[in-house]
Amino acid sequence: MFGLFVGIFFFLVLLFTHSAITADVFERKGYAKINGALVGLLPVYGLLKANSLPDRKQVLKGAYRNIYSAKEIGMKLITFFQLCLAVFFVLFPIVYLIGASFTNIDSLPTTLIPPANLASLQNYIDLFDGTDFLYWYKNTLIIAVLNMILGVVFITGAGYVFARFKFKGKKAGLMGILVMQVFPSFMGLIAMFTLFQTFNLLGKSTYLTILYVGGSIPGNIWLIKGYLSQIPKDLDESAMLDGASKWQIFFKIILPLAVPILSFVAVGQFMAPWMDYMLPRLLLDIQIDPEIPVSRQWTLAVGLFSMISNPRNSSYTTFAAGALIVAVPITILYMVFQRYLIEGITAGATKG
Amino acid sequence: MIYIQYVPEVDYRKDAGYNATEFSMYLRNYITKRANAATSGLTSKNYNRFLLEVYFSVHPELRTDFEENYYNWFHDTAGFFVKGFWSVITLGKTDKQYYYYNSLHDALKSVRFVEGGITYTPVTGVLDYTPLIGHTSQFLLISGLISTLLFVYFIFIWIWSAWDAYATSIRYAATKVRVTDKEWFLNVYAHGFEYIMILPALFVITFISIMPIVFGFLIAFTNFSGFDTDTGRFVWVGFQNFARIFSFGEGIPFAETFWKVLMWTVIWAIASTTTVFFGGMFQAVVISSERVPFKKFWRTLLILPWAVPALISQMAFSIIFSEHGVVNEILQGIGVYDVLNNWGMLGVEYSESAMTAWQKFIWLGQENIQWFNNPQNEWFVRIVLIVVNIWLGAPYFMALMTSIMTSIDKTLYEAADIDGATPNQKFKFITFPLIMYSTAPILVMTFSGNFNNFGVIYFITQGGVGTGDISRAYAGDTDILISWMYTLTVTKRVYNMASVFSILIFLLVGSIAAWNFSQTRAFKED
Repeated sequence: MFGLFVGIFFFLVLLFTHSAITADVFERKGYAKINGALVGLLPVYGLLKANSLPDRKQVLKGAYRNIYSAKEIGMKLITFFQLCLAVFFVLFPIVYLIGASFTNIDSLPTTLIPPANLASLQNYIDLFDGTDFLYWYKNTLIIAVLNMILGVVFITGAGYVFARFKFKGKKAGLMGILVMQVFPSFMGLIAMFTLFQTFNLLGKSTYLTILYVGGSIPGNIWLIKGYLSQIPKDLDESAMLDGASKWQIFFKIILPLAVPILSFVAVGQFMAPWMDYMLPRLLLDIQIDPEIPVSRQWTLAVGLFSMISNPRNSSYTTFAAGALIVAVPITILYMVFQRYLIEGITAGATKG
Repeated sequence: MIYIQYVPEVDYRKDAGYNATEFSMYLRNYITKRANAATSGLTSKNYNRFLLEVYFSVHPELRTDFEENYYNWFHDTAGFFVKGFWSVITLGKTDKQYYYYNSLHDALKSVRFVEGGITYTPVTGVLDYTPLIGHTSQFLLISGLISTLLFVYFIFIWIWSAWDAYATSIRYAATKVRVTDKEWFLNVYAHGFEYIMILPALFVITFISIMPIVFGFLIAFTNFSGFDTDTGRFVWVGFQNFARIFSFGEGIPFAETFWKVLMWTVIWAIASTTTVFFGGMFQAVVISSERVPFKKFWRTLLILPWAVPALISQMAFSIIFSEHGVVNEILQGIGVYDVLNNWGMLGVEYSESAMTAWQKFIWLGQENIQWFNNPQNEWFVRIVLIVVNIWLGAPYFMALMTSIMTSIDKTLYEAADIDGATPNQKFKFITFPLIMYSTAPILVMTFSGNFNNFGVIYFITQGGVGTGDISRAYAGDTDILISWMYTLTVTKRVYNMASVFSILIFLLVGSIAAWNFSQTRAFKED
């Protein structure tokens, strides 16, 4: 098993190196590099094909020697060895999790890919029948949707004002918001517990939304302000000259332009509750009705962690199934929007 | 109706005694037969209050006594704001008392009632489990803060109305034109548009963000810690808690632990940030190399860890690296264990006296490698944690830097080529400075993020060996400040010390963040 694996690994390293060399030859001869790389995925044939191609442009004499020099090939081998190794490490936990979720064993699987005779959907059935997974999913989804709607509603107006108007106390307000964000989120934890206890909201997952909305406003004000500040102020001023009210400017000019950042905020608000652990663990893990098991009030993060945190009572494979169901949609969303997410954060950081 | 306002539970003196009357007997019989807490919907609160009310009606002299001894004007009669101020200042005056002080309970317990050959035993269960709470400081503090913050709002409205009335009267005196209601509202709307728009968000922030922070800040100056204060009273103690982080060798070793944990937190923040940053940069350079075709393919694969929710991958790591987990099985299977055994890193029984410092340093475990629960070699666990964190953090920087690299002006490199620059020189003088320029603010943000990186520590190691051990002030081997505070708050109820640490983290991270922010363009422009 291990030998086979190492074999595949080095075969891939060689294959990619071969492909890269082929690509280089293509390029030297004046063909598209990417075609060379694709042809190069066919071992041996690719390189032969590349060398048999007629030159499309004048090729210097020493050019090929350069490609085939020991140093160049060595560097390529090292490069692809590193890349394959990195991909192996990246995929290891993911493959393990997927493999574990499709087994019928209950203990800790000890192979990366479980043998085929253990394959089953038992864990997924257990997840829905044996645990309160659907309750957790429902609770989290409700919080996420409410958080998205309320978060955007509360933030839009304030963000607009902070981005477009100058008024007394603006700078103090912005600084205050920044100061608040630096406090560790923990600091409010006790107060939130007491607050929920005072108003008798402990164990009621929907009300958690209030805390998420309130907590997200400061950060989002800065985000929206940073984005809206890039829209030229002349737009507002010319509309003002044409007799538009502030309200009209907001709805007719600013809001349509702010759709990208507002959707960014909305997605952020939607995602936040899925993976938050501290607040639900503290506020929802409290029996409010003797008839209803306390685990039905949990959110996904609390539920999933409960499956692995107690060594005596863990079901790692069921956890793997639940984790996958939660992680797959989020991962896909992140992969699709990665350009916006990554560069959006950069923009926020450098431009405010 | 003082006893009704005297919530949450009644409180009565032991020596007051209980004198049975005909009426109270009947009442008790009724309660005995009918009032089963589970079926009648009676709660201990209204049950107690009801009994007390009846009892007082029967014995008016006891009512006077009660009022004199247990009545607190601020707590029981004062209005919302006055009570609020009083609460914040005093944190309550009356201590919690337990049910056996309640003479009603004593009296009820001993009485049986026979009717139609059936003996009914009084339902005292409701009372049994009801501690007679005095003033509960944490509730008083929170409602006090709510009323204080509301008061601030009202003060603003009051000042503004006074100013507005004054301005209107001046205008009227000058122009003799009366402002209609409609005009007035339009005027307010036009001039106060900004404030009106902010108000909803401000209101939510005040009570959801500011109030909890103020609460957290204030309890650092109290003795709010442990079960008694959780359900009873705590008091202001000034800077005593802050002094505790310098008082070594007293009580629970908060001082020793704090400095140890702080040191590890700083090391962790620096190490995890630099490994993640340079790991990401290295990978980005490799991918951006001209030698690599299919850049998008590699980039997509390698960015996966960033897209997988961190919580899930952190939990997955805690499974993968567990003592009988897959990593150990594989290492054993391919013979790495034999090598480690030869080197004395595995298979040796740990002994404090017989081992040299080096042997202790390389000790990974006795039978299996104990990645995260190694009881002896804390630095091994910590290094593993930093390495695992590269998986979680580096992909983001890799993606960020590849996108920065592709956006670098190609003519710069062409010019360098003409000047005969080597690839190393190009990286050193073009790529690296440009990457640093655009990622420096993010680097600082990542640093403060890692400083408070609860997830990695808690979900992978749950604090490590020794978490919850009182002799080390509840901090485990891998606990950083934030995860230690979580244990202190949620499981150990040492609220005041947790708050002290919050404030210190705030001062530390805050000054870094403030410096970072003052460098950004956004700050300089506004």
